[in-house]
Amino acid sequence: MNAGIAVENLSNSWANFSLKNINLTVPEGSYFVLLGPTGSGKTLLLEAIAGAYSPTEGRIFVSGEDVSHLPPEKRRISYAPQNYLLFENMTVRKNIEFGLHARGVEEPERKKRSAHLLEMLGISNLVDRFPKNLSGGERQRVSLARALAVEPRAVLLDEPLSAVDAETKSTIMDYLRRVHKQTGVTVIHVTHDRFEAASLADRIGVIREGEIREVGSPLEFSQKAYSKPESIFQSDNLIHGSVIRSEANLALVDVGAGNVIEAITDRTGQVMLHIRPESIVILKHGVDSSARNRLEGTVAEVTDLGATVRVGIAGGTPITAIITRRSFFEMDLNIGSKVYALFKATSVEVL
Amino acid sequence: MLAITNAEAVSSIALTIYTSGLTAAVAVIFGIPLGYLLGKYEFRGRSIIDSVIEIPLMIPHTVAGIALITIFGSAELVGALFKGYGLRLTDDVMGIVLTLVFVSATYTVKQVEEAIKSLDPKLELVSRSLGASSTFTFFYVTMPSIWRSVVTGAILTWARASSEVGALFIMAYYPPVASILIWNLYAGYGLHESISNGEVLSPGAVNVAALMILINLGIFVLFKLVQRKRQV
Repeated sequence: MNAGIAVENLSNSWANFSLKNINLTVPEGSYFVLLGPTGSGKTLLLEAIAGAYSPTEGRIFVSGEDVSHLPPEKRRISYAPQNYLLFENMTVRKNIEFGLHARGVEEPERKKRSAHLLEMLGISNLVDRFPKNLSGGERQRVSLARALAVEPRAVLLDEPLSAVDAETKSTIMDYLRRVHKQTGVTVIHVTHDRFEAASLADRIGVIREGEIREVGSPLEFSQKAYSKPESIFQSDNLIHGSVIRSEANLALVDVGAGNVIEAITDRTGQVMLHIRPESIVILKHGVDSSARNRLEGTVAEVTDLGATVRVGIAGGTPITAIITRRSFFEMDLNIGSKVYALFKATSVEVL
Repeated sequence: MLAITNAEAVSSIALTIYTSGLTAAVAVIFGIPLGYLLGKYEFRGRSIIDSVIEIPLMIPHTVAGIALITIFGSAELVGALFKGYGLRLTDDVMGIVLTLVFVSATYTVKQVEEAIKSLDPKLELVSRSLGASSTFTFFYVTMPSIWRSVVTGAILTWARASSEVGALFIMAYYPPVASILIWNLYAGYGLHESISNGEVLSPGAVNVAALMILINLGIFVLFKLVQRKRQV
């Protein structure tokens, strides 16, 4: 596959930070997530690709063209920053059509393209609103539509989900998947959230202290997470397994140690499951429940989170749950208590 | 003794409004690029430019007048050069505006500089990544984001210019703007109007001053209304 974006030997230094010999290839049409903690240099790398500055060393290619010394407006790479930065003096429509207007596209064509994007992102009802009257999720979708309207060679998304609540985050992730599938545009998405990366990416690049440390597929990372506990990808309740049977979207996933987890998916073969700790119920006795999944274990770790308590359960399939403080004390849980972790098939996310 | 008439009072007030307005316009035209430069970039010599812009706020304005006349006076460096082309940089509208720009444009430059500093630097990157040139970005993204500061700077410049006396005494005493006329009236006739044999010798410093206050207030209210209307 052709390289949508290729970064070769890129280095740049600031007073207290350096990007060091970055080499990165993002296949054309892929969804690449650049994963790293705060201060790792991921946004600086994104800005170099966008053309905010010319790095002291190295080159950047977009669809084979060397854009290292081109100004941002000549690169055809749309940049969507973390805080959206919508143009506050323009309506949603004007925001989306901005790039087309700047490129001299005639109004009928602008309207046609913006209408298509408004519909794709479910924001047609916001067309005449100003950004100050939009919620975080709506702003994010407008920002995305604005970036896509110019039909760029790539879209750079800087922490697009960091400023929205959990529910909106899930909706925006769905839109990101859908938009990527429909447009086929190359995406570089920067985040510090491992789950977000695993959920969206075709490929993930891990950046730390200004260096690309690892690049691979989400599955490769999840496999490493088991053999290499210090991996950045180690996370609560990321469980590796293989689908042994699938019927009407309900799959049985063998997760080892004699345990099988039911999940809603039509996937087959190797999969990575994620169960949010707050979706898990702990019981001391294996009573009947509507939850399809039940894992047995003993309390190995307890962390007080204030109103809630985080309970680490050791067993054939280690799992972590977050329960209310009241439940914790009512069940009189202690280290070593035998417990059952229950969760619904709909709570299992298949990565 | 000065021969003061009501017509002179009216013309000096008109001259004040005209020259202060012209000063605000010049301050906006030069203040936007200068404020943008200072707000956006770090460069060698920046602190020197900053100091030159801020000096008028720190020195007595008679000193500013002396400084200006030693450069722009007819027999001086720049003044002599312009005199060769038949242009006089002291007195008259040219001299008044030159003086007022020096003592009051600082407010516009500083307002623009602060507004540019407060803008997220990524805003322009977003615009340019969408294909907008830096010029298009400036007019469609940056200017709409800072226009309130530009208007505020222009109002402050206008207000400061219309109240200037010290530097004008030295650089452009004649024709007298309202602030100089008021001083002349007060020094020559005291506070109130002076009438002799039915002829008005002086319109009264207090009357001209009151009129100036009303005009300034009116223009302030107008500007504030424009600002508020655009904010809605």
